[in-house]
Amino acid sequence: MRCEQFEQRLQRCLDRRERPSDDPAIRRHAGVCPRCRGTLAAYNRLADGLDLLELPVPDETFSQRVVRQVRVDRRSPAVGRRLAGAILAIAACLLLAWLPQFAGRDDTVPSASPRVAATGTAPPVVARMTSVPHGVQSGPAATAPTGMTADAKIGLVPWTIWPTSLSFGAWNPIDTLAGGLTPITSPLGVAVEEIRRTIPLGRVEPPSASRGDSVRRSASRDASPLA
Amino acid sequence: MSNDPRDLINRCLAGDEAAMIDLVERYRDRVFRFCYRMLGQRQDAEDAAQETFVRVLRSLVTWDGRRDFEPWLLAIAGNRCRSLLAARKRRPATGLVAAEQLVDRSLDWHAMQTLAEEVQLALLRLRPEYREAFVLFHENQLSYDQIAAAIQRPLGTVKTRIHKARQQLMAQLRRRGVVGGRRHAVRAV
Repeated sequence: MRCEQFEQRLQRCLDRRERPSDDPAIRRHAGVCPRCRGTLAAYNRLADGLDLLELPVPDETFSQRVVRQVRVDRRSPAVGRRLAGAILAIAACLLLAWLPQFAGRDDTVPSASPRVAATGTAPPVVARMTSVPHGVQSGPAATAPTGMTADAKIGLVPWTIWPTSLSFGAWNPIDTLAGGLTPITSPLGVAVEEIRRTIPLGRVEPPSASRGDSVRRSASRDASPLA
Repeated sequence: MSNDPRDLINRCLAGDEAAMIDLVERYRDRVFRFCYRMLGQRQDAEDAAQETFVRVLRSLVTWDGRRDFEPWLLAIAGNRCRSLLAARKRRPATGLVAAEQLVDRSLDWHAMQTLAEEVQLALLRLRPEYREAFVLFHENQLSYDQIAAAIQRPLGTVKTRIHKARQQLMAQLRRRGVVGGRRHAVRAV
């Protein structure tokens, strides 16, 4: 065996976690080569040193401490996480409240707020809608509310002036619904009364009573403190 | 007791604290010694081992049951040790000075005790990635494949690190006169 082969064989022994001095071929070569003998002795000494390393153990309460820590972590989520959640919630509220004021303007859409337009202090901000809102009939521009273009734009205004900005009264009334149904045009109280009349227990007058009677009766009930 | 920790882990996942204690008891010595070899200080090793087990118990659900548990556990311990070593680098060094003082060559200590301390010191002077691979191989008795999985490096890298760790250990022990002789001028494989 040459010295190079000795070195390779020695490394292979170490890789297999074997003692090089237990290998007869290595011992034979070490017997005739003083330098390789020195190398073998050094590796044996290292192996001895590794075997003699202190084997410390943690203290007796280690396992209990670990489980206690896990239990504490489970019961109380980190303060940081709670704080972050609160900050996020506040930030989201602020964003929702103030976003309309920072949205981009579109001057092609006429002002939807006469009051604001008159003062000229804060013209409405406009956003483009990506879809037609529920209940709004798409189609010709004539059916769109005033202040909206045919591609369904609405004025996006600050929440502080929202109620006066959108004049829903300007929307064109719908006379017919699909299937020949007639939309309810009476006030809500009349509509409720009409529905109640269809229920046997709620029927308090002959079925021949007219709608006008129902309205009058409803009005008198509303006026009575016992109603 | 079976060597397969899966039953124990399933009970831990169900919230059984007795099973958690059993699991920690089973692996605590190996994890603690690994941390001690990596960090060289008992207190740091205990902190790292504790953090390791807390993390393991918290994230047991992410353990892939098809793989060995111990390499996964030691991988987490290795990450904790590396973090602590990095933090220690940013602080003024105190730990390694203490380790250096362990070996007072003027005292006539028992030769074997001195040898063990020298080897421990030489280990601490290795690069952390070499030390990690070497300790996992020699002390924790993991296979090359398991070490590769634990440190998430290719098999060849693992072999190279262990081999270089061995060479550097020998070089340091020679420099300090702990072992005699000089290496051949042959290229190591």
